Amino acid sequence: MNKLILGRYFPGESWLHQIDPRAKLVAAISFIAILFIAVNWQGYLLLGLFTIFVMRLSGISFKMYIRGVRPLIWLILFTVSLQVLFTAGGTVYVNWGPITISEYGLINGVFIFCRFVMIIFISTVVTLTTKPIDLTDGINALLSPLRLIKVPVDDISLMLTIALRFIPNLLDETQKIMDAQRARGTTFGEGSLVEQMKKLAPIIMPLFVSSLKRAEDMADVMEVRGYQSSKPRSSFRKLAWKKRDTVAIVTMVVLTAVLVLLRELGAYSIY
Amino acid sequence: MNTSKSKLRAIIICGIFAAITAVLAQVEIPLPLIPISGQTLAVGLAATIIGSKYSAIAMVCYVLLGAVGLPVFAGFTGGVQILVGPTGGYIFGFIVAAFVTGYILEKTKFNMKMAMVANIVGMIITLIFGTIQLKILLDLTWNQAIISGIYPFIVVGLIKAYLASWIGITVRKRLIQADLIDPRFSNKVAS
Repeated sequence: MNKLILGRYFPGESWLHQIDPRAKLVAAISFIAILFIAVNWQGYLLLGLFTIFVMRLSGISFKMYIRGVRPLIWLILFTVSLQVLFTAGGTVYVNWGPITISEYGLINGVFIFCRFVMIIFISTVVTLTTKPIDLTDGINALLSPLRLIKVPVDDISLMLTIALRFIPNLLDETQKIMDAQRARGTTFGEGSLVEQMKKLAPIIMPLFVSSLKRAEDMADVMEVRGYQSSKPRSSFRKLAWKKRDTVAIVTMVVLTAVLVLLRELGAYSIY
Repeated sequence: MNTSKSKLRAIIICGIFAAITAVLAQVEIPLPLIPISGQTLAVGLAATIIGSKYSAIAMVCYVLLGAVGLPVFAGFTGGVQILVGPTGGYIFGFIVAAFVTGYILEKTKFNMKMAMVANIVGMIITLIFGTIQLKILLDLTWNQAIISGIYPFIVVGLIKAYLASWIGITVRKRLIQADLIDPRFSNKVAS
C-alpha cells in the first residue's frame, strides 16, 4: 500500500530530478506523441536508444523500471497477441484453423511491444524523478491556458492536492476498519464471490462517513485561515524555469525532427 | 451557510472522492480470469452519494492523477499508457458513467430502486466506452470487441451495481442526517 502513498518517487539529485515538472510533463507527453511518427526500425532504434539514455540519466537502477512494467505485463501480452493474430500480410508462417500468424503480424507485434515498453519507461522516469506534489503543480501550470475558457484550473489543482493528501489517511483508515472487522470475526478473502463482495460493505460505509467528517473539518479550518477560492493564491513552492528546462524541450524538438526525417528517408518501411 | 464555504466544501468532497476511488481501486478480489476491483464500485458509489456534477468532477480528478503517472488505477498502475492503451476507454467512461448515474437519480429519486436502475445504466456506459476504445485500438470487429469487452463483466457488474446502490443510498441518508453533505447536491432530498 506504500506504493500509493509516495507515488513512486525515488529521491535523487540527478539532472532529471532537477528539471521543472512542467518541462518534464511536456517532454514526456511529446515523446509519447512522436512514438507514433516512427514507422520503421531506424525510428524505433533511435527512440529506444533515447529511452535508455534518459533512464541512465535518471541515475535510478534498471530494476526499478522493470518493476513498473511488471503489473502491466498481461495487458501488453494481450495487446501484442491480438495484433499478431489479426494483422495479415506477407509470408504466412502458421495457418491453424482461424489462427494465422503472418510476417506483417509478427513485425507489427514487435513494434507494438516496443512502443508499449517505451511509453511505460518514459512515464516511469517522470514519476520516479518527480514528487507527486510537484506533478500537481505541473498540471496546474499546463492547464492554465484553459482559464481563458473559464475552466476553474485552481480549483482543480486544489482538488488534486487534497486527493493526494487524503490517500494516506484513507489507507490508514481502511486498514483500521478492516482490523476492527477482523476482530469481530470477519475473514477476508474467503467464501463465494457474492459473500466476498458483501464483506466490502462494512468497510466502505465507515470509510465514507469518517472521510466526509474530515472534509467538513478541513473546510472549516481552511475558511478560518482565510482561504478564498475567488482570490489569487500565493504559493510556497515556486516553479522556476531554468536553462536545463529549455535544453530538455529543445532536445525533444530535435528528436522529433530527426524522426520525421527518418520517416521520409526510411527505405525499410514495413508498409 | 455562505456560498464561498459551500464551494470550498464541494471542492474538498470532490478531492476526497477521487482519493476514495484511488484506494478502492486497489481492493481486489482475485478471480481466476479477471480480478474484480473496487474501481467501478467507487464510481457508482460516488454518483449515488454526491450526484452527477460532483462525482463527474471527482472522476476527472482521478483520471488526471492517473494520467501523470501516479499509481491510482487498479493494481497500482498509472500513466498515460493505461489511458491510451486498450483498456483506457473504461477509465474515460467513468466520468460519463458517474455523471449519467447521478443525473438519473437527481431527475427521479434517491432510493434503492432508482439507484439500481441508474447504476446499471452507468455500468453499461462504462462498458460501452471501454469496448469502443478496445475495438479501435486493437482493430477488432464489433463482435470480437463485445465478446472480450462486455460479456465477461456483466455478472460482476450487476453485483457491483447492487452494492453501489445499497451502500450508496444508506451512506447518503446517514450523511444527510449527520449534516455532512448538503441535500442540495441534488435536486431532491433522499426519501
